Amino acid sequence: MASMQRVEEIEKEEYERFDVPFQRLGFWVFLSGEIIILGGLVAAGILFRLSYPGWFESSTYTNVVISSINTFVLLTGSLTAVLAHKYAVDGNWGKVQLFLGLTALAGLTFVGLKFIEYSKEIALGFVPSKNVFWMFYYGLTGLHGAHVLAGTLIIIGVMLYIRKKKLVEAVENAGLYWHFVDIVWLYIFPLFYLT
Amino acid sequence: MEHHEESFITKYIFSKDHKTIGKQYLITGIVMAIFGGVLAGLFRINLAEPGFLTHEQYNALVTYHGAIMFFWVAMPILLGGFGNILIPLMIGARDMAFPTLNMISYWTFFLSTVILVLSMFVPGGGFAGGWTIYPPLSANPQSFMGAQLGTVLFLLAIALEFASMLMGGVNFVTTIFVMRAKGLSFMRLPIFIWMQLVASALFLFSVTPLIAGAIMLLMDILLGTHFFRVEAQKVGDPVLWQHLFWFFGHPEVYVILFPALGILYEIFTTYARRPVFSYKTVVYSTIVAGVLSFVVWAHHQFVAGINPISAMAFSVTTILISIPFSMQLVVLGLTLAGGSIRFTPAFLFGVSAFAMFIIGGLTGLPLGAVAADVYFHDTYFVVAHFHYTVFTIAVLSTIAGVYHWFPKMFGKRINDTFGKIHAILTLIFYNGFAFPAFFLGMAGHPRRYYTALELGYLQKYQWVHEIMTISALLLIITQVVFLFVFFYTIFAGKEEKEPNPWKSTTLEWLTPSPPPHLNWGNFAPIVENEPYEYAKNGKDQDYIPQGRLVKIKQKEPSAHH
Amino acid sequence: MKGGVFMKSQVHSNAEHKAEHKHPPYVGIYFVLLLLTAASILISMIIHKEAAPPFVFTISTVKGLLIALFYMHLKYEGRYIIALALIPLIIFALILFIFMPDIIPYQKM
Repeated sequence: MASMQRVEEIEKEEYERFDVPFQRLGFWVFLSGEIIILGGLVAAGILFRLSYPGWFESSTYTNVVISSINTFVLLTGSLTAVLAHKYAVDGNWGKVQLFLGLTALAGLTFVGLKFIEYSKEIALGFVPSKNVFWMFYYGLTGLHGAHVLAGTLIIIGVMLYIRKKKLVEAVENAGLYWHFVDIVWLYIFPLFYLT
Repeated sequence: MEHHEESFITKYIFSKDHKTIGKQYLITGIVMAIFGGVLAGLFRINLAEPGFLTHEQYNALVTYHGAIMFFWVAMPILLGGFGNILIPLMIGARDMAFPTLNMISYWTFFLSTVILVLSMFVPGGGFAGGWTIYPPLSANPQSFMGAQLGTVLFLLAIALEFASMLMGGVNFVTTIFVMRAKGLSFMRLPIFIWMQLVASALFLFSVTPLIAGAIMLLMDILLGTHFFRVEAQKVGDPVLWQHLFWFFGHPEVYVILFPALGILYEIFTTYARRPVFSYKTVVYSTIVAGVLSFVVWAHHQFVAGINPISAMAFSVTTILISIPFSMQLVVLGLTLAGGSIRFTPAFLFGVSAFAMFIIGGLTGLPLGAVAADVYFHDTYFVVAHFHYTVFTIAVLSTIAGVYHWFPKMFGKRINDTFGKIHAILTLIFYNGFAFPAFFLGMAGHPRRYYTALELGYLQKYQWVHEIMTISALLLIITQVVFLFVFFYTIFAGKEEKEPNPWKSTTLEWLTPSPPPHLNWGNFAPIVENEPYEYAKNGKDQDYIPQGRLVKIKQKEPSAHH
Repeated sequence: MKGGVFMKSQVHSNAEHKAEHKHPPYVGIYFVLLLLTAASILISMIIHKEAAPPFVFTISTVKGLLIALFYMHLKYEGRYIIALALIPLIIFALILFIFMPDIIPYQKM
């Protein structure tokens, strides 16, 4: 082959140097898109809220006790996820499994409590089509709940994966996803329960 | 060389090799293109001979034609197909950054294709509310013949297609950032790669708000909420959907345009034997156009009752965005100047795409200005305009790309004479159906109408519809023949042993055709030159390849760690 | 499969990561987050619901920043990751402010 005439033997690193590990870059690209999926709904919610007066009355019917517990659960999950990452960096993989397990437990608790909350509300007649507040309530918390469930599944998947391959980035990315879902909840909580 | 045997299934079906996945995307896209074309042929027959279809069938076919051509033809071929095959080869990588994700991406896309085709045949018929899925038609299941199931399946298919393309986008961006060969700095990337990078980023950031919108729309249909539906005593705003849709929809146009332009740059430089006229202009104008594309969307809604002040602002940004694209077209044109042009099939398709795109671009200006758009909106003028842009992108440029990279992809070569005839016939028949539409539009012919015969002032133009239908049918027949030749050449065509038949500079032409698994074997490319070093006075060749292959001492990189 | 297509440059980034070894005070931040949550619940109980939003959403933003900066390590990231985190926020603002004149008057009619 003409183009291969000048072949020589060299020791080489395969690619141009790039400072961010590819797993982290890829995950942030994904996360960057994810933010606006929820962001689009939140924006629509804000716009409807500004033009719809009945929001405050409706929000007195949501369950502050369960949602406060859920906030606590999510924040605790964030702590255990970040500690799992810390131990992964330090190489203590037994602790990683333990803390990821705790995070997954937090996720399942959250989803369980959310279902109890939904069933109570539907029993009282607050269905999505009732008014603007309830349709955004179900839309946003439902989508967020799906994200918590997805985060839990990701964490369980990572727990299985790192038994074979000790990859710090896997633990980090699972944690990143959890923290992102947590931050979204920090806005949903005041939006539907506190104000 | 290989450490593991690959079965038929892991090699050709559930393959993680970017080239196989790219070919799967390409072939699925081409088959869907014929399918979408046949749908268009059917409703065009109805326009020439009203009564051929029922009204519901006509509406559904128009809807599916639009959706298929955008989401199941242009996207999978330009991003999924060419992107997957060419990005790793052009940047000197061995595969994508996330090969498994890549495989999942294709099979999600395949599933979406199956669901889309099935949704046409469910009881009640397919979705018939136009490819833009505007509420209240889409949000009210009662608005047309009980097509609730068809609507939900249609939305599901689109959601899966978006998910698949998002996975692809994550892969593309990461791969281009992290896996460039030694020496391949950003300002040395082939323009096609730049275009793919910007297109992936645009898609990523524009489609996600629409996913939120799709969730709201599904809740409207299934749970009876009223995000977009207007009912007595209940709020709800169809314009919100239009905003969310076009916030995605307009960048989406550039998502498919950029890779198509990228193909044109590769083809123009190769066959004119000229370096690209101004590399930096192209890169910066692409980025500027990408950023601007996020603030032009409301020009689709000038007559939807949006705020007049924002309509004015969007009119200005729309005219502004024509500047970077004018610069790109000027660069493309000047690249040809002084070249010694080889009239291969790829070049013929490329240059007709270039010319047709200028018509498409110029007719966009009256549509971007509010005053003119109020008259032209929803007429055949718009239909003609976007067929001159999108057909150019999705058909002319992609076929140019197929002819250009076919030897690299399959190690075979499509017959040149056939290719030239194909190019000329395609151009003639395409203009035959698209050009008269400008005049229909100027005469006030509304688009999407079942027939022109019921409007008194349009009856005298029925013969135009007949010409358009005949041209469209001939165009489809031409492409069906091409499809046959395409598959015939893959299985029984002439072998092309030369790895670089067109004497092109970029890295993908260094490796044998078709490239082996992991692309470079015991070699690795290193990059030493700018991407388009043509018209250089060498001893035996007029070009300098962008890089060369070096043998690597390390253990052969394999699929196993 | 994944590991195979990458070579050295990616692998040793793990090792560099390990070398940092100084972790932010994760547990301390957690207690701050809990305190802030309690504060926002208290505020919503004391103040009338219509006056509460500025306070509780400010607290949410502080909490979100704490998580983003320390738990998501944005404080220690380079410009690419920071850009990826900021672009969606710009788009969010774009959507909010450009949609606003078209959505709100319709509702008030």
